[in-house]
Amino acid sequence: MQPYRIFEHTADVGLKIRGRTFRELLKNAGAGFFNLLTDYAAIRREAASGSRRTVRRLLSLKTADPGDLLLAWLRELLFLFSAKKLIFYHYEFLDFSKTKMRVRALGVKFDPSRDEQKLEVKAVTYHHFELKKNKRGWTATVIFDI
Amino acid sequence: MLTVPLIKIDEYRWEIPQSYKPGMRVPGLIFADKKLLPKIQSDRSLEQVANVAHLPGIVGHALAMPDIHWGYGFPIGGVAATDPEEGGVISPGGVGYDINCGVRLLRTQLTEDDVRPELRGLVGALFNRIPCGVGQSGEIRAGRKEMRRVLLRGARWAVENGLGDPSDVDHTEARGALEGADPDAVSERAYERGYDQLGTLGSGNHFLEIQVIDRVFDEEVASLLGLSLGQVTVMIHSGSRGFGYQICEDSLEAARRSLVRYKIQVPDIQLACAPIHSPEGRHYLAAMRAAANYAWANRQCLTALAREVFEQFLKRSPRDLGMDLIYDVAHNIAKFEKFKSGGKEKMLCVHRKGATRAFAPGEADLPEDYREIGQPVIIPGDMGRNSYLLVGTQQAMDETFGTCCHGAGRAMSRVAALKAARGRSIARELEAKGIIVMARGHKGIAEEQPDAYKDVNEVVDAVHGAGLARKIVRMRPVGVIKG
Repeated sequence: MQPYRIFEHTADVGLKIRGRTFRELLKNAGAGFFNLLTDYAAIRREAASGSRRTVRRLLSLKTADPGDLLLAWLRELLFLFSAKKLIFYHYEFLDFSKTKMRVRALGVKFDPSRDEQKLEVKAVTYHHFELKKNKRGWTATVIFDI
Repeated sequence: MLTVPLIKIDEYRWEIPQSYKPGMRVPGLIFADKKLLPKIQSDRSLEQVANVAHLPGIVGHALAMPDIHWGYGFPIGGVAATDPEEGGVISPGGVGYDINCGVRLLRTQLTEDDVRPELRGLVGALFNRIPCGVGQSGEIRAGRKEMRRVLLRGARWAVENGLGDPSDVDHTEARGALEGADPDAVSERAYERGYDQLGTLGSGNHFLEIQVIDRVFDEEVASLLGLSLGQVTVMIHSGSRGFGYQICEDSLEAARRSLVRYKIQVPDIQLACAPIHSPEGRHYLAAMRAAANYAWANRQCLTALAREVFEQFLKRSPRDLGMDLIYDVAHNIAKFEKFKSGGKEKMLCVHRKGATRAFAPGEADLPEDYREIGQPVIIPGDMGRNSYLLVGTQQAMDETFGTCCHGAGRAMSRVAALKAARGRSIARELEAKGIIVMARGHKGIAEEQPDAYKDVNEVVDAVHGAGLARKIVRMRPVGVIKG
């Protein structure tokens, strides 16, 4: 199952995300999002090799429904990247339901002098937002303003 | 998909009849010519114009400029004025995520011969000095207390801190700051995103460009503006950075709740709005103005950095360089301006999303030296293509709330642009045309390739033909830096 796919949308980009479980969907959404910003695979490799300093953050979200949780998750990742330059490569779910979560996230600081710069994501939009569940798991569509 | 009906009024004006959709309070009015119309009809932006016509308190027409393309709720290139006294609303989608994304044009005493021999070095020096690209921080930092001053004083803050000249402020729309900004209406998150982004260019279609005037349409006005053929100009296109994006995002949730609270019906939830005379409306306006002022401070900081590079690299004094600000315009903003509505003069809230103010000669808001000629309107092209300077007209005041287009608008999606670029080196192609481009990452150049945009020449010809603005000079790029 392809964790995510990038698609075009006039002046912006979208992600079509999949996951067998909702937790996996969130992880794949994060991966897709970070891959819009930079070469996420390269950063993950470096982080795994221990060649970069790791930063730990506790993320805490509570929403009315799973769709809102997915969007809040992406917005949190965007905020932490924009304000703190963080790219997360590992998540430990401490507390999880489809409307509430606490996550211990491990990340590295994005370094514009060495990390690839792809797109600047301005915002996570509601446009054409979709979250569906079927027998095989979850799919979601999210469009980003870039 | 249903085609939106268009009634031809003349070569440049097309009306969407009010009868098209039951909730339309006014007709739609599209400014475009026959060449531009097919593309406009292909991306549902006309449907969006019809949707904007549903906004409570909307006056006149839901307007569309020739560079119109699809956006969130409001199309980009959309203009709508609402009357606060008639339940008029303010809609964050009518301003956009990048509040006060805008552009400024500076002239210089240089000619192309002065810069050509060392052009690569000069572009490189700008590229090294001016932060641009994803995740880039600026060096101009403002602590929380200082930030309050930035948000209240905009470009004036920068000048007061040695980053420019008082005449820069005079030649900036709104004199570089809107009244009514409230730093307390801004979220913590916006502050956290904005604290290190002053004096940064950003990414996407933001850029700093070295240009040469290659055509003069109106010698008299050009001369009054200190412009002539072969002269080097510098154009800066940037906005309110993460600070503004966060403010827009913060406002959208409140705007959605307002729809329910004030029982407002819109065909697209992204047209979420609140009455101007409501706590939510006032809150958004106060925060939007703070973001607008941040953007003006940002463009002033970028100007200071650019001047520094030019002076140092070309070893010229500021007086020799003469890098003076011609004008700075916003193209994502909402402003309160007086226009005639129903035979009376009214203070209206004019939303300009991807559209530029184009005030006529005689308007009191213009700097004194422009009162006779009209407001300079700066239209950036795209990489490899022309940019223009125009002036506003009375026609614009009468028909479009003193507004015209903002640029060329995207024709090709970003991913499609990347596919088209595969195997081509866009940078090399541009260099063969004498344009040095430096971008943070290959993708930046490929996505912004000229073919991805509508032809700016056609867009400008349409506004000129419609009489909304008059062409004064045309520039071609010789050096570009972008994120």
